[in-house]
Amino acid sequence: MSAVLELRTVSKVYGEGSAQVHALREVDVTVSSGELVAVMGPSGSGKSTLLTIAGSLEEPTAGEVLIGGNDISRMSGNDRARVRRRCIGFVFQDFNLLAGLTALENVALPLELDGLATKDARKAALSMLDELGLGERAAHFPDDLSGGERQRVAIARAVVGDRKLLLADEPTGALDSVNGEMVMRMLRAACKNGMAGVVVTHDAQLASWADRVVFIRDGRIVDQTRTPDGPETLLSTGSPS
Amino acid sequence: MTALAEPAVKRAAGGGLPARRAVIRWAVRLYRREWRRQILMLILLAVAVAGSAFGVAATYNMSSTSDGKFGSAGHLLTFDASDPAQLAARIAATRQWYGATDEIGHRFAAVPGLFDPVDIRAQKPGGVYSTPMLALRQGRYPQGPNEIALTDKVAGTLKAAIGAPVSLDGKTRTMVGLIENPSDLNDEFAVVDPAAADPAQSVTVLVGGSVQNLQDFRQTLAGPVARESRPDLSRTSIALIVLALAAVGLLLVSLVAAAGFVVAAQRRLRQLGMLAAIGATQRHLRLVMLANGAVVGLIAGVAGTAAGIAAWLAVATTVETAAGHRIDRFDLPWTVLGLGIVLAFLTSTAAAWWPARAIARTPVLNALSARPAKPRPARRSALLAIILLAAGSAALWASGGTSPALLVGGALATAIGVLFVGPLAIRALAALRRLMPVPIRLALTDLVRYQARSGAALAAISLALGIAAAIVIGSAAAEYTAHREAGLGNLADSHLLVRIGEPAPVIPERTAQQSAALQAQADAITAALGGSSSVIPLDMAVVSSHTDRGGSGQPGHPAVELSIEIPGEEYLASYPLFVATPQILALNGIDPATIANDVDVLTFRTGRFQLSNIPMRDLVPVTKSIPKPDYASSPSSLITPAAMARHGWEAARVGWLIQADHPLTATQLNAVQDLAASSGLTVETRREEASLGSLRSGATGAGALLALAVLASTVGLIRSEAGNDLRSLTAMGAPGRIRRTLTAATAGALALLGAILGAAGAYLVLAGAYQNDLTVLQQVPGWHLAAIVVGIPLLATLAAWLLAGREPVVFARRVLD
Repeated sequence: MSAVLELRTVSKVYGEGSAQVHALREVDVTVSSGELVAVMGPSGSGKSTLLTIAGSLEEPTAGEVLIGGNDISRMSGNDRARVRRRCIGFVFQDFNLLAGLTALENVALPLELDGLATKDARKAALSMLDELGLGERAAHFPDDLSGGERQRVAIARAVVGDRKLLLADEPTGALDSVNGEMVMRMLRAACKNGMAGVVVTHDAQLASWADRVVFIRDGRIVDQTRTPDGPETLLSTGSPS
Repeated sequence: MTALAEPAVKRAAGGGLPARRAVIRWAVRLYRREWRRQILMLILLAVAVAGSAFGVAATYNMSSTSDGKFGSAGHLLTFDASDPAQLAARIAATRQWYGATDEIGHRFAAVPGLFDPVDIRAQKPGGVYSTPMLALRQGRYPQGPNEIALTDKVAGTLKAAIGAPVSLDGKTRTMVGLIENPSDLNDEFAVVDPAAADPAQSVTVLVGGSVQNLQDFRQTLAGPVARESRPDLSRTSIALIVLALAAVGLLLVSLVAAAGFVVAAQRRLRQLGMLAAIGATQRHLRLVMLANGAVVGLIAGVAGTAAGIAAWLAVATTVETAAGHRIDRFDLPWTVLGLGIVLAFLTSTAAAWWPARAIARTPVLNALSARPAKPRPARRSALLAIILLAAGSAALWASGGTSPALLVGGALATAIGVLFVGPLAIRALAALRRLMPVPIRLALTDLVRYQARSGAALAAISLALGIAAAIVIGSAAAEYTAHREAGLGNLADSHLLVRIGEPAPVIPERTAQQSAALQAQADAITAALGGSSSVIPLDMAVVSSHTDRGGSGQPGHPAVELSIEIPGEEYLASYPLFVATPQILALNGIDPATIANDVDVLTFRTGRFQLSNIPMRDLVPVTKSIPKPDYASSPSSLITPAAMARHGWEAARVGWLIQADHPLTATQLNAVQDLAASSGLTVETRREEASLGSLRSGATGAGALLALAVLASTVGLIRSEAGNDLRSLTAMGAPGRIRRTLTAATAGALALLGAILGAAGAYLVLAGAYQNDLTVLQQVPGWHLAAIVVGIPLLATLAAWLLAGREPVVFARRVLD
């Protein structure tokens, strides 16, 4: 398996002077193709910052972020946008679907933004929605879909095309347990198909779907485990001694 | 592997056309969902476009053209017909030179009781060039020597009707048609069959071609030939000038609209963040707002133009009399109107550009969390403001108050410069917050925190109130200037000025019978006033030794005029000179004994004088200064009988000033005007100066409405952005009045700053325009300015206080969302 995402001694500092906050301190993380990594930690520990830096939504203060071997921290804004639409799929807690577009159009949008003809983009998007069991709901607007359906549309949008990296920030946070589990199963399946995945979650049970769990606290990775024994164990492992 | 490997099918780096299409599709969908929130911008732009479309249509159709005189020809030649052989040779030469020509013969026939003679035209209907000058309203065109067609006024004067005999020019003919000059409804004449017409006194020949060609042809003719070319300014050119002026108005409206687009962009911030998160570039993000602006501009352009045209079609038929020519209401400058739509489209898109640029630069995470960007340092806008204000002031000063281009350019630069003072003004006001109670302190802090919104809102409010203030101050200055120049008005309400015909440089020759008829009419008018009236005859000095043809073509003598050199201009200003009879001297309160024998002219005017409209050149009169008369239309420049005797000039009657012993009633005035109209006399009565007070009130009201609408759309946004603070305050036990005070202080502060900046900007621009006479700006329209500077902020504060009571429900819903 090749490394899709590499974070090398990445640091992120917000603010200046006395208001300075170190969100990440020299973090090293590597995620390979086919691997799903869960990131856990208390609020304010830097989980989401790690995800947004990995997804090129933010620039690190120091360190390197490599996607497919390319350092995106040295790229221009437009190049980073190209990486996002071509290589990275985001799944957010609150879905972030565009309200004015149907489920099909939402899924096809990253492909169209990348220059694929509308007809081809919609064909690929419909195929992805079918795969996730939403083919019947393709023409509906997000307002007409349930929470679970919206998140499935968001996943379809994140994995459609030739994406390499799937980043999910609390993807089950706004869902009930049944839908939450379904979402995790889908993320797992996407990684089985060759994507590299990073999921930020508070839920240890859902983290157990991951191949590896990274625990972060005060901006530092404090532990990593490949085979979580269960939620309680994970939490005790991650707690400071 | 490389994650950035190009796809199998090569795609454009920025996504190319498919990406743009997808973004525009989404932008249009968003607009369909949110159009109600942008209704203010849409209405503003649509009203501005409707106004310009109406202005273009009305100006195009109402502007006086030369068609009534030239038809469709480019030039006209007038040949004297006293020598038939020479006339025939000249017409033949013209036909040979030009090929296509159109000849109209003229005979002038005196009519008893009518001052101007009737022009009997030998004119062929449907002529090559003269078609726009002749139309049949009823009956048919005359055929043969015994038929004639008349315009309605001539028919009315002659008491003629179709089918009845008419005696004119010593012949009795049958009236067979009612005609008109559709391009000049004031043109009164008769038409006879050119094949059977009596010999003409003069012939007008209409020709085409260039001016150079006309000059070349003129060289081939011997003797004097009167020629005239059509003025260059076409109706389309005039319509384009109106459109250019409308563009300035649209530009100002677009500044108000830009504030609306800032609000729209802020509302969409989170959605734009989502788009950026899935890979949209800054260009794509900009395109969303630009597409929004384009859609608004297109709708406003089409709807506004349609409304403007509809308004024109509704009033077109009622303005023919005022226009003085027939109007084909569907004859519109469609290209210019189309340009208006394009202008609205471009203006609206340009208005959306700045918010689009700002929003595209917002960091993705900030956009996703709908966090506004940090306020920029005010010094950048302050620097821009200084540059624009300096450039604007320089242009206004350089204009000298007379150059339209510099005035418009300077006014625009100054207005935009004042708008850029906004952020600095907000910070200056916020600097006082330490002295204020907590809610007001918070409100002022939020204005600085959300400067992107508050700055744009302040600019829009300043502009709306600035335009209103400019109208209010400008109209007060104009009214003051008019009063200063006109004194007590044109005439007293008991006075009548009766003129023989229109004022003209040539006073027609008159027979004793005609003079007696006119005097009889004047007596009849005096009698119609009832009571006791004094009548002062008005005479002008004419050069009786010199005969000329006036505008009517009737021979007459030139009237001596007083001309004054205008510094910096090539032309002279001319004023009529009335004979200083004892009655007129008494009217002006001048003792005849005080006038030295060598004095030629008595006048209140000043400057370098000369007598003009006479065969002698550079005749500088000896003048004596007299007091300015109370009324503008009273004879104010007089020529002494001694001067007339020195030069051999004679007095010719031009009218009467009738002074009744009572104010004239509307019934008396109507009766007098009917009497005068029937005999070719014109009557001037006191014109009630239209007060500009209603204009000031209208401008104040419109400015207030616009400012309050902008406030309503922006204050709500600023307060909802600061909603978390408010929730925290409520949680800490702050009472409801805190919420109201916060919103009221936000609205009041923006309205106060907007009113002050607007009024200051208006005074700055008007000071440039009135730089030659700044005293007119001392006429402060106190009540209206107070309404703008004090009333509107108070109203905004009160309205915000009352409406802020609904906020907790909205906040609660936001939390649930």
